[in-house]
Amino acid sequence: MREGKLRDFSDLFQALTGDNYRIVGPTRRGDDVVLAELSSMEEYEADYVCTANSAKDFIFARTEPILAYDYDAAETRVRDLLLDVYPPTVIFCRPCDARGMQSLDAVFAGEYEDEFYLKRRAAAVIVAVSCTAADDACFCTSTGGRPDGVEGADILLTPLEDGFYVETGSTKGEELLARHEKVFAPAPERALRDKAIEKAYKDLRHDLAETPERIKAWLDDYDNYDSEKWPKMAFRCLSCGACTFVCPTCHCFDIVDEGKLGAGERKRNWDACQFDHFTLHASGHNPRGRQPLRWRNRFTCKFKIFLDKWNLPGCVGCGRCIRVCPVGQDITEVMGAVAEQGE
Amino acid sequence: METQLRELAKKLLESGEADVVIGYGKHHDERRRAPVFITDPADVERLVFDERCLNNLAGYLNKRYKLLGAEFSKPAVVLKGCDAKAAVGLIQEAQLDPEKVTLIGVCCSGVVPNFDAADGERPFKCEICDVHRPRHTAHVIGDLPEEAPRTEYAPSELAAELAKKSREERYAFWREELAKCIRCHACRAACPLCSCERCIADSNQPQWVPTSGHELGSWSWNIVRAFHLAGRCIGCGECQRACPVGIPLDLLNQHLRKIVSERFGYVAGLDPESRPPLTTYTEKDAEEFIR
Repeated sequence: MREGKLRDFSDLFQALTGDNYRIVGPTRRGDDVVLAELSSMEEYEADYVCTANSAKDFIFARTEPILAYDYDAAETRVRDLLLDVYPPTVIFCRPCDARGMQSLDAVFAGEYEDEFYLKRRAAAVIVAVSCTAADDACFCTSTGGRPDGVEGADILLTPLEDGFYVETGSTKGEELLARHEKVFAPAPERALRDKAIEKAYKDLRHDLAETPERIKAWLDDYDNYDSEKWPKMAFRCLSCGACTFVCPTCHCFDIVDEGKLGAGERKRNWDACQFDHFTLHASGHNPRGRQPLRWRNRFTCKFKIFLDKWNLPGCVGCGRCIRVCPVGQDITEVMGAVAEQGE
Repeated sequence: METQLRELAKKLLESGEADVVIGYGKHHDERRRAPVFITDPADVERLVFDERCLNNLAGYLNKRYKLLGAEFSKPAVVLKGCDAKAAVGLIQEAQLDPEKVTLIGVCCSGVVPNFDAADGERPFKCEICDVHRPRHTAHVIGDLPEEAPRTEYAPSELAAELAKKSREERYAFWREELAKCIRCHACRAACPLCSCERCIADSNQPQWVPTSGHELGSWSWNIVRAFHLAGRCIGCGECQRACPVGIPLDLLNQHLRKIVSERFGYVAGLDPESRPPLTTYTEKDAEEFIR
């Protein structure tokens, strides 16, 4: 790990645009702060807790055209839409999103290698910016994260009174630091950095410590799979997909063909396990025909399946699902309830 | 008021008149309230009611959730005046049997969506509210007086401003707004009157509405959603509140309410006995095709 200090944020911004990086970062849109492509440093909004959308949008796209086809009476032509190179992109996000990226890597670069994801991912530099505050929905430390965590990030910036404390999380980050040596000064005392995030630690919830382990034990017990507790924990869920769409680790997708007479495209679009037709079989049978079962799936995916398969968290505690839920379905409430049963 | 509500809930559950009371309870975030499902009379203390109770709980009576019949057979539901209008809509369309549910109306002086905000601003629907005391519910808790129904369309400031703009300006406005859509369909899920058990947007053979997040997909979905609510939308604003990307969907709904009010002299959610104009016809209809 290399450490340093960034005196002026605009120096880094300039250096990156000089390298021809496309820059994605937090910017204000109406009442929200969203992650979007920035055309200038002025658009960067530093005063926010968590962006409405997550960093995954820029690697695992909402809609990814996979191939194009056209046909006539004589033949059918198919074109692969995978590009050789994707535009190099720097994504300024929170540490929870960076950590979410690690979990997505496991999905898309594991058993099956997803070329679209991998190429976009290879072209991306993740710059996490430590949190100096947390809101009521934040709970990263309850799922093993930190408001100043470097996991999944190439570079971590922690705001100081006069600049940023810089740490690297990967060789990609180290190379970037080395390439722009002039922009960075030697690292100041680490205590300054720790002081900057003190408030965030204090603001974060502490009542859920060690819950993931207790949750896992309860979920591992198959007798609990059909527990009568599930409906009680999920009746209020309306089965909309909002939580999955804003989640930095939800990754389910559907393949669709969109065509007109003679030509069309095959696309990969986000899908959601909360939709009732997600598991609807051609026979008409639906193994998750009731909403509590769909909610059980989402929870189990986050707190058991991810851990079993990849030993990585399925939930990074960003709190977006809590913020957007129209009926106040609160994953931390279920975490607490399940953990209690696990005792 | 909460005491009265809890007593009634307890009575309904103990007598077996209801097997669940769907109401509002606390959320860990004190600024919010969340729906709760009370099945045990001992739990009625969990019921609360105040200006933080935003949800339209009539949505749970919607057949799409399959809560009725599958999970519960005799629900009782707490409804503010505006929410009760949605129940009226469901009854009009034979989506809800009023004999099988107990509608508990609660008097409401208005809700506050951003509870910790200094200004405590109320949503537009509260400004034009004519149901501080709910109508058409079996019970009414609270003592606000009954009001005359508002039978004409009244636009919000934003809707009036938008209506003044040129066609091109409005098109530009909606292009920008709908570009935010991520197609999560939370607007549909939160809508008490989006009651199709199989939504056209879920059909994939054929795929009527593209699922992609591009312009065609987002416009197809949002226009289909709005059209299906013409003459049915009661203006509870749940779609807009549920939208995770902040699309002002109520502006679309208001436009529909305006047209239905002007052309048919109809306002949705007022009378369970009436027929919504777009789900019926009369021989006096001007259009040839309908005869």
